[in-house]
Amino acid sequence: MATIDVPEVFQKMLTAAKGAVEANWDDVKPYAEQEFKNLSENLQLIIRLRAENKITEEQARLYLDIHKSTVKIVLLTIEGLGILTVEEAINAALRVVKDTVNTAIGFVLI
Amino acid sequence: MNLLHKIPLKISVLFLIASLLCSSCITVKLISNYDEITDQTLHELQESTATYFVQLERDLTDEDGIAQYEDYTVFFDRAKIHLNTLKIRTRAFEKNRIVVNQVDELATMFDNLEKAHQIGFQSAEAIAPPLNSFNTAFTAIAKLQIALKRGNTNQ
Repeated sequence: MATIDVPEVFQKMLTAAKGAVEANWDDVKPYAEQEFKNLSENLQLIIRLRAENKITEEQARLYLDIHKSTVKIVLLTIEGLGILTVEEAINAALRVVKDTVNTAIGFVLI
Repeated sequence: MNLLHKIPLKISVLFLIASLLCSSCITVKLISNYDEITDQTLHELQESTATYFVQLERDLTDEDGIAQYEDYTVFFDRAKIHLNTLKIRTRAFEKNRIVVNQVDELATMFDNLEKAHQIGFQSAEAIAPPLNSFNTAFTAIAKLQIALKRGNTNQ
């Protein structure tokens, strides 16, 4: 029966995602690890079902396409979470400036 | 004298920063705002998909073990309506590329699921991979929606 090396696939996905969101990696790492583990196992399940003739070749191809879309959706979420972290950091810095300006001016200017 | 020179300079710098902040409306937006209608529609789509898989599993494990595609066309039609609403809605917002792309991928997933169902499922075991995929996809989408919502309330 055809098999895949789940830990290897998992590690490759993790490395690819880390490269995409290096700066915010620590924030999204727990989520990414969990989801890539699930995705790697699902990939193995598709291969096993096809090898055991429980799904047709066309269904296996469709399942792999569904799987690919899922990976993209997870990566998009990781990207989005990274952007939100950056956005929050910028706005936190701006709030500090705002408070400093208002304090210095003596009234709420901004 | 020296002090008198420094104070106006300091105030000028503060006014400059203030005007820059005012012009950028204080907060920076790098990603779209949270949209309740998008979130709600995604939630409804997730619920109907969960119902589909429960019904499918029941049909595949009962006496005749048949889950004909024709009995599920209402689900696929409703999913397409939800997805069309989401496509229109998400494209209406600025800086919404990520959610737009997620909805597009979700639509592709439903197309492929429908094609797989048209071929016919042999057993309940055979539907495990798409069920896992949809669960993972909906979790990912919900996670971003929750983060967007939290981002809005933090401002």
